[in-house]
Amino acid sequence: MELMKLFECLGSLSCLTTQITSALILGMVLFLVASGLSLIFGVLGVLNFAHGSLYMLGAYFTYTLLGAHGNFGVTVILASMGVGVFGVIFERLFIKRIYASPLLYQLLLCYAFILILDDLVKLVWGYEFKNIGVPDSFRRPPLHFLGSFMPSYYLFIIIVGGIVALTLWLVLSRSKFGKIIRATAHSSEMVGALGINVNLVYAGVFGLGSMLAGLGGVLAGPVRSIYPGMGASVIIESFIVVVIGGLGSIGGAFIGAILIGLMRSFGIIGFPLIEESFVFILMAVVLIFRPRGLFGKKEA
Amino acid sequence: MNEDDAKRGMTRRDFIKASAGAAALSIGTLAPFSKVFSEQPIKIGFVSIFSGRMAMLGETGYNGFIMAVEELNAKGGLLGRKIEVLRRDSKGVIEEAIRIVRDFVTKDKVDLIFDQSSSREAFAIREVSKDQKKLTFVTASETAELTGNPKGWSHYSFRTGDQDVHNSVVAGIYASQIAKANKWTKWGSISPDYAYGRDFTDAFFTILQMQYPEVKIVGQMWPKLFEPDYTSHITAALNAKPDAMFSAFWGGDCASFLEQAQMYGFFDQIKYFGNGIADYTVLKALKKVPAGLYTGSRYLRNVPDTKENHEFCDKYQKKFGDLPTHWSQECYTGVLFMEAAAKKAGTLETEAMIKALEGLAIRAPWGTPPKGTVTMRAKDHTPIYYSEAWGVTISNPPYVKDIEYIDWDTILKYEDLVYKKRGWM
Repeated sequence: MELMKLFECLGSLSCLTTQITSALILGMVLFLVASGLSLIFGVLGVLNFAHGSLYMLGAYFTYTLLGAHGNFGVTVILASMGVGVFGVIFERLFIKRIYASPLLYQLLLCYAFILILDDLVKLVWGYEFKNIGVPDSFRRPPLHFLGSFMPSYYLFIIIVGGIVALTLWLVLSRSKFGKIIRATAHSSEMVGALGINVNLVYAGVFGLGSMLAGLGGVLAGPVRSIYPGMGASVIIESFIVVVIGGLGSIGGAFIGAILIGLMRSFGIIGFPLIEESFVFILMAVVLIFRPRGLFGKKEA
Repeated sequence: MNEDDAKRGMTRRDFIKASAGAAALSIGTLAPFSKVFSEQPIKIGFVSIFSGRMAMLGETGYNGFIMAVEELNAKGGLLGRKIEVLRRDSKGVIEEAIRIVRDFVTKDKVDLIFDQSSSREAFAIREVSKDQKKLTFVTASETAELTGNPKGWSHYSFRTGDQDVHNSVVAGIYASQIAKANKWTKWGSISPDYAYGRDFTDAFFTILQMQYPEVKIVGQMWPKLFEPDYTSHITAALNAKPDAMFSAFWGGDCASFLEQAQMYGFFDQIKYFGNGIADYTVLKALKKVPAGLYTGSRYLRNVPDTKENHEFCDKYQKKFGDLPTHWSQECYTGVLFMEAAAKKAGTLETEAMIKALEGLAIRAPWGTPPKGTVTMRAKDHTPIYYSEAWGVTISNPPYVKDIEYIDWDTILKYEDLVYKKRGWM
């Protein structure tokens, strides 16, 4: 029956490639949002529950900017940087006050901002959902390869996601800035004692994390409906990605996001009735056998 | 006499209010009290979702509702009394909706309730209204379960919107005609995973297979409501290659799916029957409306193509600068039902209103021509004879062509069959 369909699909090249690419598409957007979440948690120790709202802002900035001048490339850069700037301001004004507070306060503050930002978006852009639509340059028949289809816009998302993942990894592991970030995550007092402005690092990391969430929203915006409250649709899965990959690990977020994409795209064929639950089953399995996540570091 | 009271009332009311209590005490009669009460405004509690991703349900429903209320007030109110509205946001939280409706009855002392909630809250609100014996107009929830299933049925609830079995009968019969003509026998479906999506789809296939027994269902998908991305569903469907697919998507989900599916050239490969495409919320949001899809009419200015409906649409657009939604129309119809029932009963007293509403036929923009009336069916408090049609999408306004209606004798006959299958009859 349905399970047979899964085996048939695994045996057919066209089905296999189609579903793998669809997993990559799902995974890339998820990775962008989740990597920001993971980065912020890893360095600042803050669980940013309002992260989904930053994704929403990215999508709405895209809506306005694309409507204003129509150049998609410029929009991608401006809109995600705009969310990054918003993140810096948000961190300086609010988040920095709760670093030493219990988790519950972080939760309260972030939840308050989910509501505030949703209402703000409603005031500025209206309550009705909007569709940005794929930019005209990508409106063309899907590409064919190995018997499968790939819309050109999705290829673009995968390429951008891949470049961001690679850059993040290089910056964090090879650059001086990355070294400072890793050191701050380890011991912010020590970094401060060495004469590095920790506040600046915190603001920078929060801004970078926000920008990644914003970029997720910018890229997904044109193909998904955007509406106040849309952040809720990505935040849960992003948390799952971070849990699977390991809190604070960018590589883990990447693998976690792709795994979730694969679960979804093959689950829909073999188990269409319970496809959504696979993501949670995966999380449960990881938590049982490797509670710190696939790439999480052991607590000292 | 009521009208006279209302005209003079404005100048007299303050005086009466101030003196009524004293008068009652000194004279020892209750007469002035009843006078004061009869001139107090009618209070309506309107509960819906005004925040988050379902805000459109509340906002555009409320627009239709308040437009009708303001028209009534401009005519001097209902039974000579002005209408006052209490608007509350349940945020889609069931507990919150229950609290609001309880407050409506016990604290605010409303005369009646308009429940413009999603089906989730609607079931809970039905229980409160039953418990408090308060007349409730259910304007948004379309699931037949709410009024069709004798278990849990409420004497106090009246639906004034669509009922999904009617929709699916129309969809099923329409689709079976086209499927037969084209020999489309392999069918799939993709609908949101909650009561409405599942019931609608289930009833659709019941009718389709009744009419065209060769139809085989080769794959059904149930993404969650508000799923942002359908890529894996789209590619899975393209692999399964059914001849045609049915969908009960609506609103943002519908628009997302169409946008994402178009990128894959989905509609060149699979025929698509979507109930929720022809609603302005979706049509307006899409940058390009894909042509050649089969769609049910949620709300369109030309379904029904009558003067009344055009007027309703234009009036709404002038007032709110936007096109009405199906929800605006359902709420507007609710107020029309309330008005007609109150006039017939001569009072807003609950039992008298219920008696007046049962079997009541009203003229409404939503009525099917030539009579143009909608009737509140007495046995289950659900409207019938409203306009239900399907057609084919085109890329530009009016967005739908080849509009076909299914006659109500047929709809009711098949509705019975579905109810019997569900054990409701």
